[in-house]
Amino acid sequence: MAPERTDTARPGVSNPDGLAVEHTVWQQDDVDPGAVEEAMLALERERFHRAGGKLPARALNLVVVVDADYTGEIVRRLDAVGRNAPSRTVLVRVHGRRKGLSARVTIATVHEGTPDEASTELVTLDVAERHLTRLDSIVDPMVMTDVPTLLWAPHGHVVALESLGALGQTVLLDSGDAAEFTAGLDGAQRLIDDHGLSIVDLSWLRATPWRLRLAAHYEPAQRRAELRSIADVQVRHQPGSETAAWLFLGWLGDRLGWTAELGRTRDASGAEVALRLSPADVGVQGLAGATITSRDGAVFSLDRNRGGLRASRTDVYSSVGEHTSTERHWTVLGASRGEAGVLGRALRRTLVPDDGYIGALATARRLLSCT
Amino acid sequence: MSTEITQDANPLGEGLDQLPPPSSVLVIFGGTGNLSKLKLLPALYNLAHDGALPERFGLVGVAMDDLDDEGYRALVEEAIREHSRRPCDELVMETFLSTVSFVSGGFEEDAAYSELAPRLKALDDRAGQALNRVFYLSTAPRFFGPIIEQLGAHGLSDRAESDVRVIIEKPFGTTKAEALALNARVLGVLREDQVYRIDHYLGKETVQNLLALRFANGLFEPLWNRNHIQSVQITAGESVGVGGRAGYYDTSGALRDLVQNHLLQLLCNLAMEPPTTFTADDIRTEKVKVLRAITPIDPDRIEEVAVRGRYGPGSIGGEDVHGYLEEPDVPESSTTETFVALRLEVDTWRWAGVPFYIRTGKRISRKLTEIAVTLRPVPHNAFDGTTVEPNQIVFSIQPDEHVSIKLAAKVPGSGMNLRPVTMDFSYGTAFLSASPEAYERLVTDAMRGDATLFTRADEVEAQWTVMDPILTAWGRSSGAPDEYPAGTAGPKTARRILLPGDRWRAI
Repeated sequence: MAPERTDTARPGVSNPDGLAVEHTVWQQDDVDPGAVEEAMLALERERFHRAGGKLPARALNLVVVVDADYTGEIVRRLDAVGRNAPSRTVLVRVHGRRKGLSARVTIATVHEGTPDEASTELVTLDVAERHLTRLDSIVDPMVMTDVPTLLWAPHGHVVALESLGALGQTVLLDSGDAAEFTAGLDGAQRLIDDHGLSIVDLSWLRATPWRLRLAAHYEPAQRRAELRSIADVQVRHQPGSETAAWLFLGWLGDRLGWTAELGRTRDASGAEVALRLSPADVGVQGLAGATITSRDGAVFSLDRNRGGLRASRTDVYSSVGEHTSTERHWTVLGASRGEAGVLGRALRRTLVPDDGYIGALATARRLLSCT
Repeated sequence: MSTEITQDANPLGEGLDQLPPPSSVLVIFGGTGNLSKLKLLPALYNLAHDGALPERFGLVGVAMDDLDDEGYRALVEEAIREHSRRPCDELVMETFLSTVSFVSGGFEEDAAYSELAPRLKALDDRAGQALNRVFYLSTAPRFFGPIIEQLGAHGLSDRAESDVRVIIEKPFGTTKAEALALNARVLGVLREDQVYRIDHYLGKETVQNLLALRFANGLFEPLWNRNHIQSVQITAGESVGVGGRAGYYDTSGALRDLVQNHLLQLLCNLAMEPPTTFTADDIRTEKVKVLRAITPIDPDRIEEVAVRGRYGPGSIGGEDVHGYLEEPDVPESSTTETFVALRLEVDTWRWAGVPFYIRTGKRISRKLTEIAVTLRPVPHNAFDGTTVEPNQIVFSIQPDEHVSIKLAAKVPGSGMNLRPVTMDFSYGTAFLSASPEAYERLVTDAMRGDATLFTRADEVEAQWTVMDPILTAWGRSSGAPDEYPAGTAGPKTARRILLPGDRWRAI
C-alpha cells in the first residue's frame, strides 16, 4: 500500500528557541518497519531538493520507549530542549493490547535566518507490549547507522532496553526516579555490568555545575592541600533527590580516594570524613547546597541562589593562643538551566562521554553500603 | 578510581569539562566603544549565563566618557539587552551588573591609572585573594602603546601574586615598520607570554574546524600537497559597503582590513604542517613557517600577482547603491581599495608551484567566506569526447558551514556522458548546541592563559612581511583602483593574475 503523505508547512510555528519551524508529516497504520524506512528516505529526498541540495550532518539517534497514555509529558520535555534536539528520535508508544504497528514520521526543519537549516526527524511508533522483546527488529531500520544511539525508557520498560541493547550504546536514565534511591543506583550499575551499556544519568547531570564550581574553587594550588584534609561534608538536597546527593558524594570520594569500612568513611590518609545529607526544599530537583569543612577549620559552601550559586568561605588563622577567622560571601554567576537544560545536557553527553560517572556511582554505592 | 592529591594536579578537575578560568578582573579600555557594546559586553553576559566566568570576577570599564559606576552599568545593560545572542535572565543580569564598575579618564593620562590601581586593589581585598588581571585594549590603535606604557609606569603590568595579561585588538600596525615598533613598545613593558593579540576569526568554531577536518580525517591529508592539488582559492566577500566605517576604512583598505590578518590565518590553517602537539606555541610555530615560506612579492611585478579594485555604483538585492567615492566621509581623492585579489606561493616541499589565490571585496554580489581546493585533473581521460572537470573540495565558513566535494558522475542514459555533481555536507548543524560567539571563547582563553588562538609577535611580523611589498607598490602608484559595479564579483581585471587553466570560482 502506498504511504499516505501529508505536508504541513507551518512556517509561523516557533520552537522554544524562538525560531520558525516547518513540519513535513507521513503516517500509516498497519505498517511494517521497511515501509517506514522507505517513507523516511522519500521525505529526505524531498527535503534535499527543497534545501538546495544540502543534507544536514547527523550526530545522534534517540530511541524513547514510553507508556502510550503518558506520551505527552515526555514529548513536552523533548520539545523543550530546542536546539539540543537529537537528529532523529524514535518515540515508541507502548499500548497494552494492539494488533499491528502504526507509524508517523515528522521532519521538523528549523529556519535560523541563515542558509543553515537544522533538521530533526521524529518517528512515532505505536506498538503492543508483546512487541517489546523484539523491539530491536522493529526499530533497527529506523535508526541511522554510524552515529550514536541513546536509549531512554522513562516509564521503566527495562525489557525494551534489553532488547535494544545491541542497537544503542548508551542509556539515558534518572536514577532518582526509583522508589528507593539505592535501587536507582543499583539499577544503573546493573545496566553497566550486565549489558555493557554506558549511562547518562539525569541525577548526575543535575549536579554538574556544582562539581565544576567545587573543582574550580580548589583549583588554585594553595587551596589544593585542603582536599587532603576534609573532615566533614554536608550535602543539602531537594526532598526526593537523595540519589543526586549520593552521586555527588560518590564523585568526591572517588576523586579523593575515600574508603568505606565498618560504617565509617576514611580519606586516603585514614582520617575519618563525616558525611551528612539533609533535605532542603528549594523547589528544584537536585542539590540545594554543599558545605566542605577541612580539619584546619576552613569552610567552603555553595547554595542555590538568585542568579547563580551563593558561595561562602571561612578561613581560620591561628597563632600562639589566638584564633581569628574571616568570612566572605559572593555569588558565582550562572543561570538555572531547568529540567529542559538538564535533558539537553544529557543528549550532548552521549557525544562527549563522561568518564567520571562510573567511579562516582561505584563509590556512592560503597559509601551507602556502610551507612 | 582514586587520584593522588599533589600540588600539580587538581583531582576534582579530572573528567570534568573545562573548568571556569581562574578568578580574574577584566579591565576594558574603550569600555564604552562600539566593539564593547556589540561584542565584548554581550559575550561576558553570555559567559555569566553559562556559568563560565571565573568564581570571583570583576569588570572595570575605562573610557573618557563622563560616567560613574551606575551610568556605566546602565550602558552595559542596554548593550547586553540589544546584542546578546540569547534572551537575558533577569537574575543573572542583576548579579552580573553588580560586578561592573567604571573609571573615567584619558588613556594617556596618569589620573585614570591612579584611580584604576586602588580599584583593582579593592577588588582583590573584597575577594580575599590576588585576582588575575586581564587588560583588554579595545581602543583606537594609537592608544595601544601609551596604555601599555602607562600600565608599566603605574606598576600594573606585572606582579608576583597573580598573572597579568593584555589583550590587544586589531589592527596591530598598518605596516611592517609600525608592527615592529609596536611590538618593541609592547615587549618593552610586557613579556610575550602576557600578550594576546586578537584576531577574532581564530575564535570562530568554523576556522578551528579546519584543523579538525585536516588533521582528524585520513580522507584529506594524503591529497594535501602539490602532487594532487592544482590551486587554492580563499574568498571573503561582503555585500555591504563601508557604511559608517568610512573614516577608519579609508585609511585601512581591504588589504589591511581582511587580508593581512583573517585571510592569511585561513591560508596558514590550510597550508600548515601538522603541529607536534596542539599547544599554543607548536601551532603558532607551524603557522609562522608557512608565512615565512610565502615567496616575497617583487613590487616591480605587482601587476602579475595583485589586483586592487573599488566598487562603483551598482545594485545589491534589487536596490541601487552608491559607489565607494559617493559614500559619506570618503575623500574625493581616495585611492583606497575595497577589493583585493592576490596570487601567493608557499615555497615548501609540500606546496611548491601551487598558487594560493586570495580574494576579498566589499559590495560584491553576496556574503561568503570559503576555501576552495582544486585537485589536479585525472592523468588520463578515458571518456572520449567528454570533458572531465577536476575535483574540488570547498570548505564554506560563512554564511553556512559546510563541506562540498565536486565529483564527476555519469548522466543517466545510454551514452557515457559525464557531468559535475556536488556532494554537500552541512556539518554546522550536526552538533547539539549553538556555537559560542568568537569573543566568548577568546576572552576565556585569555583569562585561562591559553594563547593558541592569538597571534604571536613573530607571526604578526611575518604577516606584514608578506603585505609590505604590496603596500609599497600600491603606494608608488598614482592610479585609481580598478572599478567594479557594486553587486558583481569584483573587477574583471582580477583574471589577470590567474595562471593558465585556473579560473575564479563563481561567487
